[in-house]
Amino acid sequence: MELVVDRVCKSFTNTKGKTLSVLENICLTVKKEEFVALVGPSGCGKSTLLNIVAGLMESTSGQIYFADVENGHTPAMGIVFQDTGLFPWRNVYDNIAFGLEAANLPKHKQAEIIKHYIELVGLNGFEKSYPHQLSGGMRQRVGIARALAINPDLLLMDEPFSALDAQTRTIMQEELVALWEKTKLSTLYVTHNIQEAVLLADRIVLLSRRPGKINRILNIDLQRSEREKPENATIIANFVDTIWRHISKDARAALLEVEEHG
Amino acid sequence: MANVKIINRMQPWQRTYPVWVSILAILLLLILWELVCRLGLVSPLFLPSPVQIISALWLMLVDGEIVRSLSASLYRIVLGFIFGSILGLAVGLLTGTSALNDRIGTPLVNIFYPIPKIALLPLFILWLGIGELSKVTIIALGVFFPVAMNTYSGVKNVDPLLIKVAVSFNSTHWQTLKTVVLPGALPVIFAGLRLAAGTSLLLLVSAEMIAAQEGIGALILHYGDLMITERLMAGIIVLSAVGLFFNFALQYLERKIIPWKN
Repeated sequence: MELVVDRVCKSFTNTKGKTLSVLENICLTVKKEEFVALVGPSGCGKSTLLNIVAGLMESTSGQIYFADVENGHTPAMGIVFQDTGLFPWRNVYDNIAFGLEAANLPKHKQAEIIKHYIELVGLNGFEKSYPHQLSGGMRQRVGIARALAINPDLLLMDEPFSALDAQTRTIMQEELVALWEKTKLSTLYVTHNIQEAVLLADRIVLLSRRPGKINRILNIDLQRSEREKPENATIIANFVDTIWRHISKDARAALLEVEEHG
Repeated sequence: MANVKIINRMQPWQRTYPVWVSILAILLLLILWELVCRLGLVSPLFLPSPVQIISALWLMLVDGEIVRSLSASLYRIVLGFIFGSILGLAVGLLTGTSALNDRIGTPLVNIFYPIPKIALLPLFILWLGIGELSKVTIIALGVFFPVAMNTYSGVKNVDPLLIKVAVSFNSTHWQTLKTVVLPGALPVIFAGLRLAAGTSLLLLVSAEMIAAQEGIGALILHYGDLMITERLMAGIIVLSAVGLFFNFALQYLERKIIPWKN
């Protein structure tokens, strides 16, 4: 099974009747067991694209579908949100249970699954804690566990670590690599952090801004586990440098732009 | 050359005092009041001393007068509060969660809200008779508006991200209302209930002063007419106790129902 994004366009019309094209002719696939990162400066529409893929926003044209789905199987998507989106009135356990409850799974089955994912992301002993009692990193672990618990066919992550401090972020990236090696879950990962994309992804899709178009696609053909090794530092640095050269002009333009509220 | 010591300039803003300061202040005020009365500086007709008021209160408690009045009053206020808040909750939820109900219901609520509710008492007496029903109705009406309006704004202000999360996990519309919108709105709903508690007490006393044989409002008016000031004051103390009790009860309920708010 693979995800196909086929000629997707998205434009917004502001109050003055001006049409703003946010995404233009986006075509990409996320193959089975592939980790694809969407990278671009702020305002390139990468989060918009992720929302459209997640079925949480209408596209203006184009379509998105899962290809080669086994008969009778309904593909599921697990989404990890930027600001975690944890329910403040639910403790860790009940937050992870949310998707399973929505799927009407029996309680004992839920308990089994939740226990597994609590262990997987290292939340043992925090089952009864409420989100406000947890650190940012722990909160996002809950967010990841909640997304994984529904056993998705595709994992969507919208800048999951952007609210974390640099040290926590590094730890969480390493944990995500380890986790991904265990699950090999097809993933679409949105980030503006180039370093992060190079460490995590098999393929990096660079988006330009206004309108968001696919600027370039890079394959990171280096074992994920090899990427942190000192001898590969130059290869990694070269990737980062290439990407930065592609998007720096857009990033500078984004910096100067006054946000137009529509 | 000299040392220049750095002092904490925020000290006046950071100072704290223990709880007994409050208790001491109240005691001092009572003693001062008692002294003013004992020295004959004011006539007991205008300002009875605390000891006189307490002994009047004791006498009224012993001969059952307080119990009779209080039970009549509590009956009205509790019934009115329960009916008014259930109706307010229902209308707030209905108008807050459906665009059509919002269009129909919200202008109606806004038209009737500014009417001082006590002005409707003669109308209710005409419609429902001089008995309990007209008084309970006026209290329910006074409770209805703050609860309905707070429920509405609470529902409207639920973090849209959380609704998005629920939808992303395939939660049905009804499930989302029950598990996300309602708990998300609860803190604001409780603020409405506390507001309504004040309003209900005001309407209770007003209604009882206009049209009741029994009740704390009637009692206060009665002793005012007779110029038995210490008994009038005793009635006011009972009202203050009822108000305090209401507040404590709501606070207790809030802590029980909203444990995630620390």
